[in-house]
Amino acid sequence: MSELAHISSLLLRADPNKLATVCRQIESLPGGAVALTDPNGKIIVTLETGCEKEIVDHMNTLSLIDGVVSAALVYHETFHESAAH
Amino acid sequence: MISRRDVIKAQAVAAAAAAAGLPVPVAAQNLVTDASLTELKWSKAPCRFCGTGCSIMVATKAGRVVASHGDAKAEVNRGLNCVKGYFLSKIMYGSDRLTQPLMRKTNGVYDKNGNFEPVSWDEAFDTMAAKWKETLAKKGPQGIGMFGSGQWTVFEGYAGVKLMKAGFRSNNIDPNARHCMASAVVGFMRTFGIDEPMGCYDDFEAADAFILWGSNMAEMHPILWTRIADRRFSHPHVQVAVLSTFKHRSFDLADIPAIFTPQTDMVILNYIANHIIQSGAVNKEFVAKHVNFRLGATDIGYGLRDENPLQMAAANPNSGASEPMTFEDFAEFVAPYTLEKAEEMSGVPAATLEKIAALYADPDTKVMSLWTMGVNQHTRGVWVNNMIYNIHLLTGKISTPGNSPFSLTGQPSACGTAREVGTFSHRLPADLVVTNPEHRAHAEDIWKVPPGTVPDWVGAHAVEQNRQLKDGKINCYWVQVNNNMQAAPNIMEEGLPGYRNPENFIVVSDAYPTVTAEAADLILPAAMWVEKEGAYGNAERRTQFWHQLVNAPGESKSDLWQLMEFSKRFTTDEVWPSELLDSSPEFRGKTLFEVLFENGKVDAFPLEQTAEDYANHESEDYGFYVQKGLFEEYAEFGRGHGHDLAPFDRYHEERGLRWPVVDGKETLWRFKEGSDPYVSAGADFEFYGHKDGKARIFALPYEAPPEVPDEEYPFWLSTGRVLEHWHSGSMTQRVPELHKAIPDALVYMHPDDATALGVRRGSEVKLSSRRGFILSRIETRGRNKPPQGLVFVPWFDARQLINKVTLDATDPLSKQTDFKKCAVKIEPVGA
Repeated sequence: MSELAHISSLLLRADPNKLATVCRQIESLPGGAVALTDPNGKIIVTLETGCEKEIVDHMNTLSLIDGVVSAALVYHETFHESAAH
Repeated sequence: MISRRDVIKAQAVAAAAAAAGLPVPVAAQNLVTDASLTELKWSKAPCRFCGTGCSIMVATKAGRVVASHGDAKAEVNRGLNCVKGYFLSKIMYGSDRLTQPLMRKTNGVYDKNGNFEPVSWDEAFDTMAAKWKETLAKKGPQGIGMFGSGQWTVFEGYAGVKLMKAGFRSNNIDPNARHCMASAVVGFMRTFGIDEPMGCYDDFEAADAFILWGSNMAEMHPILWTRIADRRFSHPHVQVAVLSTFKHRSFDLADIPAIFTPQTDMVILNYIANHIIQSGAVNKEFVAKHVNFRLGATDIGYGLRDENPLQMAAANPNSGASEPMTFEDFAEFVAPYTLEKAEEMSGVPAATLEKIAALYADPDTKVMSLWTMGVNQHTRGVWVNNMIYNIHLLTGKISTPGNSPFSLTGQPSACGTAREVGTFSHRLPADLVVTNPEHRAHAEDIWKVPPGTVPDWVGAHAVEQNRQLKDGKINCYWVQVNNNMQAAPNIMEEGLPGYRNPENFIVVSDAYPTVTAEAADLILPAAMWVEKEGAYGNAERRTQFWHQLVNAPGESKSDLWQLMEFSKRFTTDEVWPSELLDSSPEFRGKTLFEVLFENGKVDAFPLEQTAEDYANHESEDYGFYVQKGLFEEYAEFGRGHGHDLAPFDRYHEERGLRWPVVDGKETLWRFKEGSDPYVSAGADFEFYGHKDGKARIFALPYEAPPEVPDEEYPFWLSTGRVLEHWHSGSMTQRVPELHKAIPDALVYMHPDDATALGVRRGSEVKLSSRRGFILSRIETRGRNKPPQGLVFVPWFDARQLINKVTLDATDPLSKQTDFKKCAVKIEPVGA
């Protein structure tokens, strides 16, 4: 059986002074990873989730991290896990 | 070996990097590339939701919209999407989509107390036309009414206003933009004599300070907020001030946070004007050359029914009068608004107020002021708009990059349709008004209808329409693209009795069975968004087009088709008086369709000019390019008059253009020489909306709100939106992911207030005012954090109609409701 996986990327704007702690919290999110940052507070996050609802939930969680001021979705793709090999 | 997962991730990161302006490892377009989603056709369309005007790439496959993403080519959003925009592809596919006309019937005939039964379009329109004719014969054009929307396309709004004002000869047409932008409009007209912002979104990258007056851009305009966040974080000198009556997500970015007591924004603004004058920060040359001072009438009431005691107590109810005054008079007028007084009345610490005032006063700080409903939904909303312009005009901080008093917009085409097309009860296209005989004659000339066709009386505005329905003065009423039974204030006392008044016949065109549709007598199924060709105009004067990308389900038809089709059922002899036909006998016996839409202009462009790759259901029905004809006729109003629009076809190629578009070029900053072609050479600045070329500063005092908390109703109630839902939720509540994220409205409350009431997070409460109540649950830890004594309740939830509770007090000049202030009490349920 193949399962549908969702990979998405988000662009976050965070207070540059809080970048390190924000990134730590992003990494602690299940399926969340920091892909790129820049010193002005831009953070590119990738999410691996089982459904779209989780993307919305994660966006809410990310927005509420102290230091994060905005989160915008950029990319989303679904694929079947079995097709990964 | 690189897995498929790695490839997708790399692509996701590359797309985000491109949108962020960060170095991209490989050039990538943010396309959905899953194998199951190949063979997609991608087209551009503006987002269906707020007034930001993000451009979206929409993918269709086999007649369905299957995906959407932010348009990387769009200047507005640069490839980004908020969460609502991301789920746009799902708004058309709710399981309860309306697909055929439904009429209340008993035993096969129309009955106001019957149940909804499917009927044909013919039966629907025949019944409707009979009702309209009966009322027109009995009461004349004042007996019918229409309620439209800032979500109408430009073409629909134009057809609506033409049908009502030139066809039925009734000015009883108003848009729901009355609830959202009317105070901004009247503010612009009073100060500048011409509607809509002088600046544009390019100001975001030029300003040194951003000051939010009551706005929560982080949730309501998230994509614009990312532009402010970028500017703030990449330029450390930039400051952000956020003023509000409660703490919300925008405070995360605030260098200067300020929570003020409701209504005291007026005190703070007059204090800032006073500070600018006292500190010698007035730009004297600018003021001398480009500004006049006016003393406004005061004690103007609250837009309540005339017999309301508060209205009767007002000295100058509904007066927008003003008289000239000098700069010295103005300085004296604002002198009592001292720092001490502002601190005492607003509750904002003096040091904070001084910081905000200093941003405006410093000649080297470019300031962008931003506001939406906090200012507009205000019983002194017009005044507050005027007062914000006052401080930009005193300092000359206007119409140049980064110096920008910017009125944000709530609906996708509140500007493009409601305001520019002029679907208000007093307006005609391009800022013309029905009370001016020259304006009426100009409209009649463009429309090719006889002189005297357009009526001279100001029609009923939104809140007044509900009152007139209740009073039985308006008996036939057509609502399109909005959910006013949920959106309008005080629905139990005004709205619902009006719709259910046995004398009235109510028609609602919508895609879903909203609260409003369920209160109607006839429901017409509407095509929505990319199920029709459309045009919207956003907050920065940007006009954007889209093609019909998919067909509407079942028998659904666009509002445009519905308006045009209905006009076929009337002849001039049935709806025009004999004097009019005697003087223009060539109009005798013609249908309104022939008069309004087969007039040699609207039908001037053949069907072959429609795009080959896209359907166009209206044009295919009528045999000519309907949207192009309507647009080119409409554009005649504005070309050469400061509202110039480009030729129709160009908009299908561009990601929108900001009017006035002169010699093929859009205008970024109006009223400034060099960037606005309408400014005379050598004038530097010219506020040409007023005949003397000058803007107006208005001396206006603080006046108290009509209802304030007391012993019995001790809390302020403010209503508004949340990020995930747009307005009444009729679209976003049907996207499962958004609905599940925020399923229910909550009462956001300070934890100490909750403790004092003996309730806690999740407790059920009854929230009531003098007008009605709702049952809801307490939230003390959410994204909105009110101060003690104030609660915030969003209005998207049809199961908790907060507008049963609100007061129908309006700004007396703009007639826009104050949804942000009334007094309520809160009691635990089952305690």
